[in-house]
Amino acid sequence: MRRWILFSLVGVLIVAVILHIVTLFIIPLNIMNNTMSKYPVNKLVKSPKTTAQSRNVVRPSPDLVYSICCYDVSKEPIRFTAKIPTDTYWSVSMYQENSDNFFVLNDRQAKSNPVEIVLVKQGNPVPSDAGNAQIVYSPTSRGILLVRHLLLSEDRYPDLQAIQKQSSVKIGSAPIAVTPVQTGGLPFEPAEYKNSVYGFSIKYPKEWKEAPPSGNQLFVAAAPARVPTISISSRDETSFSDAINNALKNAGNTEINIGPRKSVQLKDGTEAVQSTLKFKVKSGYDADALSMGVQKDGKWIITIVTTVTMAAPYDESLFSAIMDTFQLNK
Amino acid sequence: MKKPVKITITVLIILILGSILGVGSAFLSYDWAGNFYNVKNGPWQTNLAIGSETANPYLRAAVAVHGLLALQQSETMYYHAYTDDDGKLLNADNVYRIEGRAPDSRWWSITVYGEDDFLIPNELNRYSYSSNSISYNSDGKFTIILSKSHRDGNWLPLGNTKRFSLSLRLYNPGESIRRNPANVELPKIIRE
Repeated sequence: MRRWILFSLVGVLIVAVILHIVTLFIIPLNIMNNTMSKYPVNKLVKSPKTTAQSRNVVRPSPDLVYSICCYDVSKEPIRFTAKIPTDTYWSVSMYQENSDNFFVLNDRQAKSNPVEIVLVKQGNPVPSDAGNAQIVYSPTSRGILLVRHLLLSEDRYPDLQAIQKQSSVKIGSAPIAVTPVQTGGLPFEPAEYKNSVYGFSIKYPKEWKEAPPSGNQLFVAAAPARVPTISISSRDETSFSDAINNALKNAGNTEINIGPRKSVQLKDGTEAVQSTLKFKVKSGYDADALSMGVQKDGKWIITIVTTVTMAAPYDESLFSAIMDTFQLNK
Repeated sequence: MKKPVKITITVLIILILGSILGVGSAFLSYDWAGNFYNVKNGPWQTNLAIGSETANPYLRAAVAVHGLLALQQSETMYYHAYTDDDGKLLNADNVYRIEGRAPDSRWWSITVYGEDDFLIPNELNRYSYSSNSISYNSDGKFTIILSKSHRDGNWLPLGNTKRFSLSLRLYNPGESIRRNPANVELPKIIRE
């Protein structure tokens, strides 16, 4: 009888230990599964601001705006593209099926903006058409990709939403094809400014409205929200940086900071120099800009596309695309 | 009783008792999450393995239940408080004062959660203070009052909850905190 009781107690203990361990492993898997079942697969869901009504994931941060994608890369990779805000914390993180955080990249670590990531199941072949995207391997077929945008203040929410909208997840590893039909390959529907005196032309988004130029300015246009703006001027200074500095100062800007200059060749073969700019506009707001100088008849043709980041994000791909349309009449 | 019947009954009892003990103890053990926070700093507690692949099964289960989708410690440190500085459980019928200096990090926030680990509904939709929303006192410190009734200044409403807890998030924590998470100065939680 005693042996029987001892045998039973040992049996209970063995079963208890096994089930204790199994349960502990099942709990996170189950919670992740339950969370993933609330969202569509391989789609980036842009959540609104976090409030007491946000009840999909426990202990959410009310200061962050989230985008979430429940992925399944068992058969095909996914490509994540996102615009990174320039003045606030941003990160993308990935969680495997048991909830472990196996990847994180923040705004300061990202090497490009927009950031491009191709997520591949570990063990699956490396895609050959991923282009410049960073390849990240997921240890499990399914998991969660989470984007965090830090909301600095309530009045910045529309800006953050605009940035949030510029992120996407698509199935497959190839970059999203640009629709070239109506825009001639441009990421905007163009209007064109032509200058017959200096003999050049440039394209800019059609919805930007022309405004009266002043001083040495040849042309000014602004988006309906007043920023971004494009301004073109002709300057007599000998150096590019002097030309930029004076063009900005004359328009009432201060605290001008010119980034490193780089030489570029435009689509028509024209040699140009470009640099990013930071300064304060007349009203005191911080502005970010992309500038370009092209030399013509001993003068600098200076093009500056500026935004006040508080009102509209600095969109490097759009600004560069505008600069790329600059053409000298040959 | 015949032997085969006796064996069957014994095996059944072993399975039933073993299941209750095994599954029950698993749920009880992870939910005692406080025991898995191996770094304690006053009322604040954390575990440096949160979110990482080195987390043990207990911690992983506790994080999944109480803080799913947490980031690794290099990106964000999460301290949680379930008690005040005197070690008493936080109770929404009391008034508390959080006092301190800005912790060493790129960005920080203090958020209050109800018993269900979600934000507490309130008319102001105010759930947290952060490095960019808090007002500092003239001595460079800050004070946050937690109470059910309205207070001026930095006030976090406790709504209709009974128990509550706090999370201190440190995004891109500084070296001083990462090296010394148990002793670095963190805000105090004082019952008034």
